[in-house]
Amino acid sequence: MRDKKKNDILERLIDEQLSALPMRKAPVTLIPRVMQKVRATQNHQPWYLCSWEDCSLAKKICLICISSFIFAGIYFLGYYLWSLFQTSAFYEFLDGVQSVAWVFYSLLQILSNNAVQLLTVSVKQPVFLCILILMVSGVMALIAISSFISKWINLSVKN
Amino acid sequence: MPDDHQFESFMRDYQDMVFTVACRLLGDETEAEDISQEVFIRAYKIFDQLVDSPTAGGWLKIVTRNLCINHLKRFRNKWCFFSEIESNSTSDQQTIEIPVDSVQLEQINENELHVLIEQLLCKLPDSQRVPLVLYHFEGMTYEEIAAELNISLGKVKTDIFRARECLRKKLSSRFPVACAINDEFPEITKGPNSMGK
Repeated sequence: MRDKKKNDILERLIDEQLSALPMRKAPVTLIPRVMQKVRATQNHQPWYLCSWEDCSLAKKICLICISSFIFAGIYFLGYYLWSLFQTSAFYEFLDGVQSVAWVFYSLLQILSNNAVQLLTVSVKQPVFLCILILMVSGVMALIAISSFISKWINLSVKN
Repeated sequence: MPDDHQFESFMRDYQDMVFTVACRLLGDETEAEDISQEVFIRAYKIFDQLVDSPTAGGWLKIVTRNLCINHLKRFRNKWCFFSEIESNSTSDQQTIEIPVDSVQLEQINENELHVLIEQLLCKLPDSQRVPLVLYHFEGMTYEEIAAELNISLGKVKTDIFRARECLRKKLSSRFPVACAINDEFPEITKGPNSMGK
């Protein structure tokens, strides 16, 4: 009982003194040290993990060129496939929306097998990916609309 | 990738808190700076989640505490106090002598007193300082401290009591109620080596 009382008083006394202690000032070298470490880590990151803003101009130009080649490849491959379908016997069974869907499917297959798969696996940049997805969607929509119109014209001419 | 300026601002907000926790647990400014650096590098990796989180301060405190305890366990032989102390009855009763002139204490101002208390904390052995800091500054219970440090509950209580005693003796002239305890419990004023004997 006596010991407990003594402990309680001592605890309260020490607690009063310790709780009155202010926070210690961190050394001024702490922030520069951390930032230096952080920048060193950033420099060792692979190119595909760097954000678009952190990329140098040369890297940005390279990425734009590669992306342009990929889009051009997709576009011309899609166009080529479309012309293949037009001449094949299989095309006879397809009309209107079905053929457009087929083009979409073909393009998606190409994308998933090649460019997009490569990019989504290796490039983890939301901004870059959004731009890429928007551009690919735009190209696909253009192909789909143009193919639909051309098919509709062909059918109209035949009739 | 987090924005560097935003992260610097985040660090400015929390650096004192992290450094204080590390300094009090480790009792060494150089090691505390190293641990603080490690804490902020870890924070940088998940800065996107931390930046707007109301629990960022708590997260930083917990990481600092864990890193400090790991540091003490791994890199300091002094930490063997915790594991060896139970098998060593003579060292169990040892208390530290801190050279502070109690007459001078009455003449110093509040700021100087705070500096002195910090110095006294740093001079306590790890086995006493760490439980004391976890109890008084981190708000942990005896049971939580025992689990965190992997020692018995009785050992935690004894270590904390010794640390408090040590501080009380050195700061007795600054405690207004200390005289009352001294009158009521004269055995705790007999001297540092009289404890437990």
